[in-house]
Amino acid sequence: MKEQISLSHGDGGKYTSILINELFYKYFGNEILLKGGDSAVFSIKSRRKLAFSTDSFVVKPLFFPGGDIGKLAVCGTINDLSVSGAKPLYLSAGFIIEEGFSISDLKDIVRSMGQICKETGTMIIAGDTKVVEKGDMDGLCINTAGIGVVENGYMPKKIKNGDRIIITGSIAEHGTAIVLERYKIKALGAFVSDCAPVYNMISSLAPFYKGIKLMRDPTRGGVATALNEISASAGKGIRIYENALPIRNEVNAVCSILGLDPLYLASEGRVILVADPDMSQEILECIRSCKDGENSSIIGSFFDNSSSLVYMETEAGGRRLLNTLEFPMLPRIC
Amino acid sequence: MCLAVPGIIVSIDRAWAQVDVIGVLNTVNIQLIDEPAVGDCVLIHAGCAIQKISSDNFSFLSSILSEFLIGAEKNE
Amino acid sequence: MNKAILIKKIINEIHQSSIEKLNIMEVCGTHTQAVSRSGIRSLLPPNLVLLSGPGCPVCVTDKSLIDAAVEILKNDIILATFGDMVRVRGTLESISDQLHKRKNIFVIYSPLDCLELAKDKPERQVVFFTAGFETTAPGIALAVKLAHKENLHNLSFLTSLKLMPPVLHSILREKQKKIHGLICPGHVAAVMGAGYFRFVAGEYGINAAVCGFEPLDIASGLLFLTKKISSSSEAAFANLYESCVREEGNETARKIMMQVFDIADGNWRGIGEIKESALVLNQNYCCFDALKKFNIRPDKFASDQHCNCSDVILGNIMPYECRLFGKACTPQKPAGPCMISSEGSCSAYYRYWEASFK
Repeated sequence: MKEQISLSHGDGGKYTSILINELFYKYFGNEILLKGGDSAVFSIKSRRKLAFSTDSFVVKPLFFPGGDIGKLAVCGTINDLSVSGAKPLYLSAGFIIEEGFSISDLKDIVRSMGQICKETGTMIIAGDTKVVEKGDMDGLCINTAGIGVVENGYMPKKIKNGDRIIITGSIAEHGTAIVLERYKIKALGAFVSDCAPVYNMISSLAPFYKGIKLMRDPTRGGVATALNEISASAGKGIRIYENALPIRNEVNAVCSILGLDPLYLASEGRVILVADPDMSQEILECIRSCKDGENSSIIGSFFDNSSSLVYMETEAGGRRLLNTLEFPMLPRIC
Repeated sequence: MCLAVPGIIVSIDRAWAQVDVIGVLNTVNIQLIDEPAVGDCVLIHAGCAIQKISSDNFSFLSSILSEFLIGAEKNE
Repeated sequence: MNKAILIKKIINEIHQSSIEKLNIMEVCGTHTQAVSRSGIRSLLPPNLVLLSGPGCPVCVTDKSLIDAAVEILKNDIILATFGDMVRVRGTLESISDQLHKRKNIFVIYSPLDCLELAKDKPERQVVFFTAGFETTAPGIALAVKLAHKENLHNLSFLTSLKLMPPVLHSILREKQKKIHGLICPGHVAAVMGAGYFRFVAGEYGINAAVCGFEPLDIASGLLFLTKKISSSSEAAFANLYESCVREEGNETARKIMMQVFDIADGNWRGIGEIKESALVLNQNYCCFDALKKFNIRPDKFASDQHCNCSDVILGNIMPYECRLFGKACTPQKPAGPCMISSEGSCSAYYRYWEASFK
């Protein structure tokens, strides 16, 4: 195979076939995909509700400690399905690639996508590849879409005053890892993206589903943005406590060096849950017994407020408003 | 207009030092301060050490504040 | 004693003040941010008004310099800049508006990173665009010196470096402003010395404290000023950041700064010209001046003195008293630099302000 992606890889001819066979089929291979039709045809045996989600990924840098754009793309859609209470089953993967892109890099990305699928029992059963002229885009963009079956009768419920907010682990890990790579900050410490599938943790909470009112993953825009979205859709105010936020010291250190706010940096392997106050402690303990759940914490609760206010009680004893992230955060010196 | 963080110099290589900022080792230029040494606590702004830190400001402030807070207990 | 408990005691004590109105200016944008982010602003009594000051270097960078950066980008160059500078608009456009045109723009963290960029791409012109005060100027001076030493002639600097005392003189001279106290920028003082701000008490009879940026530092500064203002004795000055600030500052850093820069008159966005308030490259280093290299005269761009932000940064009004605040001017569609810059007063107030609680 050639070393770099050329326009011929996207024209549907010989080189497209080579790419499909030697990369996508090799690393995604499953009987539905390998049938090679224009559509993937499959049946779902139950009459339960289905969940469907799609997302596109353009992260820079493409490779970061703990993952790459491929792992992010697969986990992103798997997690969107999981927080809807669904078992992720099938995914599609669309690639838009800039001419000249390294095939070796593409192989690493595709391999890591296949790896996550294997680990989670999901399958990529349909895909597409397009190649654009050099300079018309930056590197690579991946879209994934996925379908899953809602399990154990999970359904979102009406949020009430006093409902608790739980985060399943330390925040801003992915965002911090990305920032360090992107700005080539020479900082040594344990910085690895938390990018991971959350299905196993969520399915272990099945006995408590009747007390779980909402689940959301705080990706782009971080915890603060996700809380604003939840507050807006619930029509209630949210109060969280700075003392209760699980943030690693190293993440705080990098954020203070670069002038960033961890509340607005993405997590890619964490879930925000809204829980009935009577069950929140049990739910917390269940999460803490899961892999990657040891730093889970109840961080706040809902109160009556029609204008969807989200604020934080600070360590100094005061209050700080938490708005939605309005524009991408950049490192600053002032 | 000046975000700066404290850190402790762990090692020095000519004009640069590895500085420990709450457990994160950061590469920092030390040409703006006088006679930097391993173990020094320094103030870091935009990748440069701009001053040596002599002590924890908390202990310094506590003594200043005691003057103003003597009557505080009466007001509680 | 636990810091949170100490802060609570301090705030309680501040609440005991019987003075009808305490106007305290937080000169530095980083202090404005820290006050809001720590939640201290929400704890203060209504008689204590914290006025914003001019210490946001991005907010006071003249529009014409941003226009100059946009103009320079029309050449096939690499522009390196701090994140703070990216979103603020000149007459029409900002640096971030150039990103969609696939211009080579790099956000860097340290001024010394631009040296690496220039070495990495010797065939390309690299321009470092930045604003700053005395805290940042020594680092930039060091970058210029090293560029000179290493013959990096593909590197040039487009800078808006300003000095604190001249703009403070300009504000404090107007006695009707009725500023009772000043929180002085702790990190400017770390470089320039605590003595750099003594004139506030000495010449203008206004109580002043050099403060750090942690919640306890700020609370202590507010308590000190409240007590001294209430005592109505001679204006007091204190260095409450002794761990980082010596009376004489950092002579090494200042020396490097003055080896590279001369003091000149400066244009402050929204304020106008202030004499001897800026740092410009001296004749030994003028070959690194991007304006000269690209033959750009910033006064070719119209300089607008009618920015709404000037009333805020001069402490004449609170951000929320600006008629545009929160309505026509938000972080998503900012009308002026005070809302764009992350440490601009309006941005800090909008993002952290608790008016909604009231």
